[in-house]
Parts: sequence; C-alpha cells; structure tokens
Amino acid sequence: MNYLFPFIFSIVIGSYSLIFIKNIKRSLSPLEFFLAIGLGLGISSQLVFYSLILCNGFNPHVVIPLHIAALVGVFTAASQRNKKTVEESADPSSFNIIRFFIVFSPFIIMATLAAFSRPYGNWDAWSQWNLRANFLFRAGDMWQNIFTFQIQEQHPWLLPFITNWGWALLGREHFLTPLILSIIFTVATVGLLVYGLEEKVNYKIAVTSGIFLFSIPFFLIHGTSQYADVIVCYYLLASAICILKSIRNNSPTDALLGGIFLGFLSFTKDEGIASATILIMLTIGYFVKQRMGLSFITQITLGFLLIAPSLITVKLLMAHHLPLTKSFIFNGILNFDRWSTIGRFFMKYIAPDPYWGHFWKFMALGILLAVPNIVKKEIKIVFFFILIFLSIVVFRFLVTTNDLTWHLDVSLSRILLQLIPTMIFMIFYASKSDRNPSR
Amino acid sequence: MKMLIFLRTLQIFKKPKELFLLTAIISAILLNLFAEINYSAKTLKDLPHIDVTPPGEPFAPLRPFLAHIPMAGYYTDQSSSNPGMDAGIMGLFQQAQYTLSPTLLDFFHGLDYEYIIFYCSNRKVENEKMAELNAVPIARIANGITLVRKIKQ
Repeated sequence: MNYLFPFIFSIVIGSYSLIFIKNIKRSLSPLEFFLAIGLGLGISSQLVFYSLILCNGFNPHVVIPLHIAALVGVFTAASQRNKKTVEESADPSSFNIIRFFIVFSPFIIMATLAAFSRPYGNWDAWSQWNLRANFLFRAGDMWQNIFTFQIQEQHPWLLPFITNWGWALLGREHFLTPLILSIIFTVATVGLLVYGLEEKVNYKIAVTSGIFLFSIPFFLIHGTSQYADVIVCYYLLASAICILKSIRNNSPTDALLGGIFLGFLSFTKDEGIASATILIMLTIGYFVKQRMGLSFITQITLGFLLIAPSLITVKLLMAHHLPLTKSFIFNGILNFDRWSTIGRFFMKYIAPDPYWGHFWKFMALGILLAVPNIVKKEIKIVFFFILIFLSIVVFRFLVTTNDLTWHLDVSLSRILLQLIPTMIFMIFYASKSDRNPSR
Repeated sequence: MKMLIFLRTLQIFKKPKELFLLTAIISAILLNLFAEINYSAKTLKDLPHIDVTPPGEPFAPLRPFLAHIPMAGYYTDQSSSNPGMDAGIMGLFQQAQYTLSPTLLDFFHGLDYEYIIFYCSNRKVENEKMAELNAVPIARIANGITLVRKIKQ
C-alpha cells in the first residue's frame, strides 16, 4: 500500500483539478476518472520539476509539501467554483467502473504477472528510464551533470519525475514504484479507450475494443516493461479524446484539457513532441476551418503552454543534438536501400507475429471498412495525424545517424505500439454513425 | 419466436460492415488470447524463480569509494570491432552505471579520468594497464572489478 500511496495522492490531485477545470458538481464519470489518473500523475511530474529548479536538486522535503499545497489549492479552488454552480447529474454509464474492473480482472492479473516477471523492467527501462530516476534521487546538487554527459538518448523526463515522486514519499528507491506505475498506465489506457468510445458507440462494442487492446500480447508485455511508450499511448489517446469531445460537445474546457494532455505527451518522449505538434496544428486548423471561435484555439494553446516551460527547460539543458547536415539528409532520402530496409521492417511487424497477435490484420480490415467515415467530421484529425506521424517516423529513419537496421530493430515496434490504442479508437469511432449531433 | 429470431438476423445483415468488423475482432481476440494465456502460464511457472537483485549489483561495493566523485572512467580489456554496439560489453558498463549513479561513467574516454573502474579478464592485464597509467588500486572486488586511481606526477 505504501508503494501505491503516492500515486493515489496524485490521482486525488488530478480528480480535483478536473473538477475545477470542468466545473463538475457531481461524482466523476468513469471517463473522467481515467483522465484524472493521467492528469494527476502529470501534475506530480511538474511539481517534481519545479522543486528541482527551486532547490537545485531533488529534495523530498520540498516535493512532499508542494504536493500537499497543490492538493489543498485545487480542493479549495474546486469547492469555491462549485458553490456558484447548480448541481447536475452525471451522464449514466451503462458500464460502471466496478464492472470494468470485474470484466478486465483476468487481463489486469496477466499484466501484473508480466510486470513481476521483470521486476526492474526490460533492459532499456532500467538502463535509460530508471537510471535517470535513481540519478536524480541520489545526485543532490549534481543533478544537472546528467545533461552535460551523453550516456543515453535525451528524451524528456516525465517518467523519471513521477518515479521520483513515488520514491520521495517512500523515502527510498524501490523497484515496485516504476513497476506499479507501468501497470497503472497500462490499465488506464484501456479504461480511456473503453469509456472514450462509450460516449460514441454501444458500450458492448466499447468493452470489446478494450478487450481487443488488452489481448494484444505486445501491448500487455511492453506496457508493463517500465518503458515510457505506454505513457505516450495514454497521453496520445487522452489528448485525442478531449479534442474530439471539445468539437462534439462544443466545449472549450475540453480543448483546454486536450492542450494539457498534449503538454504531458510532449514531456514524455521525443515522439510525444512530434505527436503533440502535429495534433495541435491539425486541431487548430480544424477549429479555424469550422469557425469554432477564438476561445477554442486560446484554450488548447493555453493548456499546452502550461506544461511547455518544463519541456523547454529540460530540452535546453540537454547538450546532445542530432549531428544532421543537409547532405546527410539528402543522401538518406535518396538512398533506395534505406527505403527498402524500412519497408522490410514495417512488413516484419505487420505480418503475423507472436507478440503483435492479429492486430494488423484487424486494423487493415477495420480501416478498409471505416474509410468513408474516417475522413469525415472530427475523426479525420486523428486519421491525418497518424498519416503525418508515420511519414515523420519514416523520414527519421531515413536520416538516422545510427546503424539503420539496429535503429529500426530497437525502436520501430515501440513507435508503432504508441499508436495502437489511438488507432483502435479511430476505427471504432468511425465505424458507428453518430449518436449526438456533430460538426 | 422463430419469426422474431429471423427478423433480428435480417436486421444484423442490414449492417454487414458492423457484422464483419465484429466477427473479425472476436476472431482476433480469441487468437490473441491463446498466445497471451500461454505467455502468462509460462510467467506464472517462472515467477518463484524471479531474481530481484538490482542490475549491476557486483559493482555496488565500489559505491562508498565513489561518493562525491562526479565522473569516473570505465575500462575493459574485452575486445570487439564495435564496442559501443556490443551488448556484452555495453551491458556490463550500463549495469555499472546504474549501480554507481550519480557518478557518471565514461566508456569511450575512460582512461582520461583520475578514478577508473577496471573490468579485466585477468590480474596480469590489469597490472600492466595500471603500470602504464601510473595508477594504484583503491578497491578490488570479485569478478575482475577494480577501482584504480591515477597518481598525479
């Protein structure tokens, strides 16, 4: 329980933040609960970041009071705001949260087993992500050294910061903290998918989509490997759900929430920065085209800007830059061998594979069937996002300065994994005609 | 009753897309579950034998010697055409880095530092390298791991 407590604390902060942002005067709906998980954990990462800057090093005696102050702050703000509003009833969900945990319990048990089979996570998990966490925890005022020395890829720091928050309250490093975190994000991603879809399609179909996602062996195994990819999965899906909700319900506060999740997405991994940039541009383009008003653009931008300072600071502190030159880029793009190697690797993952299961076959069929709807209405934002993101991924591999085969081998499957929940969401979202009026 | 079932069946076939998608997803779930349950059964069997020792634990006795040392070198006599991509060599280096953090270890310019962690296949190679660098051992632990310090001239 001690290991779980910091995360419960964060989720409570996330819940009250959501109540404040959305001005909710009722219990949270299941979708809001799963959004609050990511919101709270993201806020914790920000609090750890600001404590680092304030104290010039990680200091649990500052991080813990900061969290308590944040909880008191959002609780007071939410209570004050709620006094002024009329009580409303929650949209009844046909599939309440208890039923969710009962139906998905076999998968949650399998995920827990998978996580415990590798207590320190897979190789890159401990040598990249957990190493950063333990470095920050032990380094004191030497914490900036890690930025000046190239011992690893320089992704942003959301995951190590949350791990540090877990250790701060525990008072020591422990392998259970990142392990539990990986299970939380894996389950929360499935919860988001189910309840994000439930607003649009029949709940039985929404639950089936969740079972499908959890049945993909690669999602279950990789999600619980303590990498940051499952966190990218979560924040990408959360951003997409909030953006689509803001358009469907004509709600600027959902746009604000979407912006905040895009901020957290960009603070998770470099691929998250690319994803957030593409999504924010496509969404603003859609808002402008549909003449949805300046408030939507302002809110999504504001949400993103709330998280941007930490991302900019961490990225500026990093000394490592890609040694790319114009000639290298052109040589890469014009090299047929590189294209063919990349194509071969894509086919390798798309072909039946014991870890990917039958995901790609279903996706191909689903896209074919859903094509007319995918390019219509608000869901086209997600479709064009996936197309543009995959083009950027191909470009990144074409110009990689690492050995191409090695680079593809270690990162392509992870990048594809980040898209899985959002792709499943898109297929099901587009496969059904709308219940509610939409633009 | 039969009529009702017939009418319902007809209703489903009015939406062939949905039916097709639903059949596909249920088939995919069943096939995926087969692989996933197999994996979980294997995991469950192996669970009592899971090792919870942190990565790089053999390097842990060096921690007190490197406290407050921000950077140190790492040297190994293991040979490889591309040591930076060699999983055997880099694997051990990363384990050392994980355990000895926040001291940062330099693999590629390891001999430039005052403190160096040696990982050598035998004592003879280790002694030769120490003599070459004018270094003395500070801590010797099992498995060919030694912390040395260069003597300033």
